[in-house]
Amino acid sequence: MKKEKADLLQGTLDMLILKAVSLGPLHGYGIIQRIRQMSGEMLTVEQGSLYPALYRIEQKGWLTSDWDVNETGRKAKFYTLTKAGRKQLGEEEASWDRLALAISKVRQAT
Amino acid sequence: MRLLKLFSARLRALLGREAVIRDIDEEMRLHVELETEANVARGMRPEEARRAALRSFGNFDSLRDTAYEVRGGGMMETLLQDVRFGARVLARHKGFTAVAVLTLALGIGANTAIFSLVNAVLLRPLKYRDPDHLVMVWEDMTAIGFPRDTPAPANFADWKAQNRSFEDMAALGMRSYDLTGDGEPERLSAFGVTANFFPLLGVAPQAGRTFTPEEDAPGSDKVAVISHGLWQRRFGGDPQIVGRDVLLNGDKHTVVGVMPQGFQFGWAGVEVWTPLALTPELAAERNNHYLSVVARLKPGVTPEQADADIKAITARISAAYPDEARALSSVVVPLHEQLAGDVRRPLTMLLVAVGFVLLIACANVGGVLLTRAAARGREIAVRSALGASRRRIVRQLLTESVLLGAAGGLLGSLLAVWAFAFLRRLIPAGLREMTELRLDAGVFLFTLALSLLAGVAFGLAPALQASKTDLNEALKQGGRSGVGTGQRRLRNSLVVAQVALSLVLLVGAGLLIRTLYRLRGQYSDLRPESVLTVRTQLAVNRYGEHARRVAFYEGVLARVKSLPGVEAAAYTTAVPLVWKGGGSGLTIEGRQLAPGEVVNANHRQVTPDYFRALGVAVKQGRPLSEQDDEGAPPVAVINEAMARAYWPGESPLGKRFNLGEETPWRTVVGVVADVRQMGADAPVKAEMYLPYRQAGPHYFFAPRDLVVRAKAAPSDLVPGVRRAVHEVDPQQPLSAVSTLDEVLGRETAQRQTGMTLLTAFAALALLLAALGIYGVLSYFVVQHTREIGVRMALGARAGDVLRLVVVKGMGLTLAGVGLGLVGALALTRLMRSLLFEVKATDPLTFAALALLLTLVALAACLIPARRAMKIDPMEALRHE
Repeated sequence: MKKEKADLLQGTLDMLILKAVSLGPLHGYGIIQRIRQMSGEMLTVEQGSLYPALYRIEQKGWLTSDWDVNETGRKAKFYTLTKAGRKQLGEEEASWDRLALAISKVRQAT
Repeated sequence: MRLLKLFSARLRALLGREAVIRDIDEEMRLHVELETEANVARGMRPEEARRAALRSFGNFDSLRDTAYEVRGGGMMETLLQDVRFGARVLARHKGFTAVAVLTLALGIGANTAIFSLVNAVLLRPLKYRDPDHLVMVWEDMTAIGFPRDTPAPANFADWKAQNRSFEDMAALGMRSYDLTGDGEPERLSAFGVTANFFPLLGVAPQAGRTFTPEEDAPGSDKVAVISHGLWQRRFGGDPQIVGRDVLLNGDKHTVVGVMPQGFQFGWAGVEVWTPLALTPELAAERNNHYLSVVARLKPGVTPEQADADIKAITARISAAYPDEARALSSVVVPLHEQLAGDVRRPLTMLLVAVGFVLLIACANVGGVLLTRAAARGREIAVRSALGASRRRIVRQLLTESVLLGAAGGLLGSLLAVWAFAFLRRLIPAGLREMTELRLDAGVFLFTLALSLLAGVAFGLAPALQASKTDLNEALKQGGRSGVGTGQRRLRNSLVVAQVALSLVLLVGAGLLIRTLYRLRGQYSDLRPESVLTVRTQLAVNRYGEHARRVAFYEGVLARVKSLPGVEAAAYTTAVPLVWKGGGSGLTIEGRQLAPGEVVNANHRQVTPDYFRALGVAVKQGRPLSEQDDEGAPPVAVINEAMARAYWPGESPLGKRFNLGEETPWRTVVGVVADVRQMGADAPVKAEMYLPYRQAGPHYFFAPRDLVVRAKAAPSDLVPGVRRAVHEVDPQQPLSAVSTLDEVLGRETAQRQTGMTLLTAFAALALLLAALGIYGVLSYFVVQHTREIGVRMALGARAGDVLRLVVVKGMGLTLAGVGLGLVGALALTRLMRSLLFEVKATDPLTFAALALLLTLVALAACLIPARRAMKIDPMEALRHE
């Protein structure tokens, strides 16, 4: 059975990645897993979108990365949220909440 | 190519591309592994699990490239790729590349050359200490036509004593010396200078010292500082030169110093400096004006403040000495403005002109690129179908044009260096020694910026156009034609712009040509091509006596006149245009002067045959004769300007004037035609010609220039004249040997060079514009081959086809001509000060050049038109 999936809205990917990493350092595969898990299996980030987004976010200074060893003893690249990243996450969540509120108001008006 | 590869490998290593890629690959590999494991855990077979994991990744290579680019590593990489690819494309189209690079090289080279000139003359500081603080101080004698006149010694002394603006003031006076001793006697230009002159400029001698204040006094002044050039040329760079004695005008002078190479101050090739050392009597003179004054401003004082300060002092002088300092004022001029002021205008004009040439070159290459971009439509469509972004394509095309620009810039710099020798003539003589034309950092940066700018300017429009190509259309049409209206309009406006800019240049050049023609035409009565002039300046210590001078002139003239090929020979104080000064104040019998009125005329002492030798017509009365000697009543011949100025509305014949109370009255016996003696474009000044025998003992205006009218080529006479002079006095040097034509040539050299350059630019512009029209129309014909074929099949005649093409071409041309006329009207104003007796809006020039341009454009239309006429309708239709 195929689960119903939600499409990712433009511009929300960065927020999801930051949110996923905010709970602790993760490698790329882990980020996809955590987003799926947090969304109740409704959101799947494609690898093809994830890595370019990760590098872009890293360039902006919201994430830092380091090679480390994962739970199975393999070398993996772990991403950690920076201070600037935490601030950015806060802003994006706030603006998302405003948007969601606004949309639901519009919908209830009909 | 190998070098480029090597370079790119280096750069890649430097940027750590390999490391970055490895890093990305490693990360992806882990991801695939984890995904595979998860798939296995879900029950897939290992093989299948791995394939599924890989599939979910999509295009791995593309992802890696995107990732790499996001991490900022791709920039240099892509650039190198573009450069490599661009170079390959350009190398493949050799003909196009050669023409484009050459066109740009001409444009950029011309700009580089002219900018070097501007840089050397207007921008680079003079080689003195704090040159911005140096000013010249002149007497302002506008009343007699000299707004910047050389000051009198007593006025200089008053300025120096009373001013509050200057740290110091130095004076110098033109001198010349006969250098005798070992070798040919030689005439040297020199300056007598006050002791503070060199310290004021802040230039130290290369060897020895400059003058002490004690040496700046009569009696102890037999010392000299010489130029580097003289030291090398005459003394073979003798290391013992300091302390050596040399003979200047027959007097022993001790060389105390040698100035460094390139040191100059003033106007001509001065090679010797001696102390000014004025006697107390000379220093007190107020009506002999012959000094030049240079001063250094105190810190914080502006030239304007200094000007006001000195003007106040001069006003006091004028009030205190109403006779000697009548209508006297003064003016302070910054040194740089003094030296470069005359060239600012022509240089600005040339800078605008070369700017136009470059614009035309860019428009031209841009037009060709547009055509090529259309032809490359398919290539571009394929590339964008394969996933190249629009930005990427624009960047690729721009890289190509910037490459073209850079190649043009490189070749252009070479052209510029080659042009330097010619350009030097535009620098005024006094500044020439102090400046050097070279490719310095400023010029290099200018050219580099220009090349890049040009590349972007002509490349951007075609690149944007090309990248807009509709994918489907382009691929379907097989890249055959497919040109949008926008692109056609762009090409057309490029051609219109070229025509307009060319016309502006043509009109500018035309106005200058007419000016030059007018300037030269004023002297055509003199037939300057057959007049030889030679200077034999008689040294005062050997020819102080009037009788000795007379003997010299008569001896030389008798010998010169007997040379075969000589029509007439005479001596004069100065040949026209050679000495633009030398006036004397005079008193007219029975005339009261109004306040502020000054009576002054150029003072020339001549031998009787002077008017015949120079070719000046006698208008009234008689010329001078051999009978006007010491015993005869004093007489004078005057020019028409003097007659008009001082005897307006009456005949000056029989009227009398004198040169001061102590001199006898002179009767005017003749009036001769005006010769523009003060400059080809300066108003004629009142001039009087006195018989040299009646001029009295005063040495200053004694004749020094020999004028010989030749029956054939005057230069053939030079050896004979030299022999004649040396037979009379073997010690007497000759200098300034030239034909009157050459004197006139020097007078107009700056304009001549400007005109030559502007004409060259205009011709280049015309050629490029014609090429532009030709290109557009050829393309038009190729594009409309089918349409023309159909028309012909339906019965259109060759004449109709011809009309179709020519009307199209002429439409563009006339639009350009119209715009160009408006532009020229607006811009030739810039040139007004360069023109002479030609209006900046001269209708004849405008009309003639508009016509010329139209005719050339018509010729450019006819070639594609003929090709169109030859289209075979069957062929054209089948072709489609």
